[in-house]
Amino acid sequence: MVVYVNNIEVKVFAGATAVNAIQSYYRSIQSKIPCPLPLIYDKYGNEIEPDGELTAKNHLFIIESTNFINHE
Amino acid sequence: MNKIFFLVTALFILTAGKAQTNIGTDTTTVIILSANDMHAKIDNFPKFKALVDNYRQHYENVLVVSAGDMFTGNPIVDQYPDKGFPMIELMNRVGFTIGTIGNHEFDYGQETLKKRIAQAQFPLISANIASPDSIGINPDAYRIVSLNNGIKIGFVGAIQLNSEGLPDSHPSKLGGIQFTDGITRIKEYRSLRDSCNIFVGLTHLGFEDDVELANQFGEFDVILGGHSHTLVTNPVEYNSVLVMQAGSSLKNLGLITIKLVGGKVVSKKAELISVLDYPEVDSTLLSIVHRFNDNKELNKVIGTAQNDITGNDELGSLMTDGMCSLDEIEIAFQNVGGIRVDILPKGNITIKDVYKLDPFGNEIILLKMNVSEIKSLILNAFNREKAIDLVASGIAYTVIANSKGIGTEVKLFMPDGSDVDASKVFATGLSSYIVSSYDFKHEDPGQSLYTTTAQALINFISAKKEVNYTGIKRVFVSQQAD
Repeated sequence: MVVYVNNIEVKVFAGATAVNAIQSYYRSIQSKIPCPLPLIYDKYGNEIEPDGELTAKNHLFIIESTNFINHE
Repeated sequence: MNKIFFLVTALFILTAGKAQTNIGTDTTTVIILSANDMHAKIDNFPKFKALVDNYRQHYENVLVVSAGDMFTGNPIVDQYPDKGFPMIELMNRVGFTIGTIGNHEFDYGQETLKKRIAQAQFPLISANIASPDSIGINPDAYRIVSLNNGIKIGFVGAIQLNSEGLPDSHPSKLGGIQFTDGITRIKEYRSLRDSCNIFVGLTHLGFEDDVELANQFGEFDVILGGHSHTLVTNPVEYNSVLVMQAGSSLKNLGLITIKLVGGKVVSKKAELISVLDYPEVDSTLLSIVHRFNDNKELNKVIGTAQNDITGNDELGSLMTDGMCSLDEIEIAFQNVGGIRVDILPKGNITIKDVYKLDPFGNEIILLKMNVSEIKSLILNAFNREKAIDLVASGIAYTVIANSKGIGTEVKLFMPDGSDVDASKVFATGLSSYIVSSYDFKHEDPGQSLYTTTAQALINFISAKKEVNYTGIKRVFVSQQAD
């Protein structure tokens, strides 16, 4: 199914959670997944927990921590 | 911050609570404490019960509701001999008023769900679930709860459906049950508004759909939702409907305060309150939670290792064979980073051993992959670390690497050494982590089988009884000179 992360279309498997969408997003922009994970918000400005279940066409927005560790 | 919050809350309760709950007068305050997506996390129940009791001491009219997904997410509960029963026992002791059915309520199977529904001392509702009598899962669409002073609170439930028209649970658990669109079904209950003083949507649709529901169904006073694990810290009304959700795992609760005068709602507000930070515990529930956590089932022997199972090749082969034991899967891959022990020693294998080996709770995702896509997966995984990263079942491979260790080609072969049919499309099992994190070509976005890799391995070892992986090696590297 398709969801949107920071307004970028991301294809995820049916049954995916928010963290799966975030992982797919970073893969799509060819960037390492930051640690700690970014905070995830919905289009209404509410925080979503990483294991929140998605439905098609959900919109997610992420804010990275300013002092994250990049997994190399 | 939280201490200040509780002091302010306590002061509010002492000064405003009981005085405004005068049964027999025109003014009524109704408190609804809403949990959603508890996912079998039992450890916070002692605090939760103490918090609920505190409100009950200060208010006449306190309702406790669940917006779905009581089950799945904690081996203590998921592997309990009566799967899910600890949650029902604890919810009964808290005194839940009502719940709605979430998609993960189906994860243990229909017979188990029926038993848990029968054991629950509170109704579980849903407007868009129905089945023939032979299956017997026919929840009421709604319930009306009457307070002692005659105030009536109506609840209508609904469950999320995916693009296949099913809740997100394994399709084998859903056979014979009819699911219809939740928002469409709820709209058939507009007339209930006239029968209730307070009208509540108790949904498991996800926050975005809850907002859509509110916009189409302004008859509700409030929608208490679940599924998306949304932390609504600043509750907002949409179409005059207050929409609330409280994260997951019983770390927080929704506190809804509704005031009525002459039977009419005059004010309503929602707040997110922390269960984790609540300073008191209920000692009875604490002892019950301790008893459940001492789950002997996790020490149950499910099979025997005939020899030590060591290293990534042997352990990964065992894990992927577990995935391939699912009917839907032909071949499977396991990343070595997900193999979390170095050895399963010769002798008994317990459920706990499996969770140590595979602790992440990843689900198995089914993808239909052609040979080119499989090679892309293997090669990209190899080149992440310039080393074998994926162990396989149902297929074997050799990565051809150049003198710098960079993989340049993959040769696939069947387990018996024969060539792979280049036109074949394989039903491939991958963990949800690999599907989301690895860069590889795949036309099929995949479908969760709503079974964890650990559960598949438990089932596989339980069925095999004895396993022997000595010397098993299915993946190879051939480094060639430039």
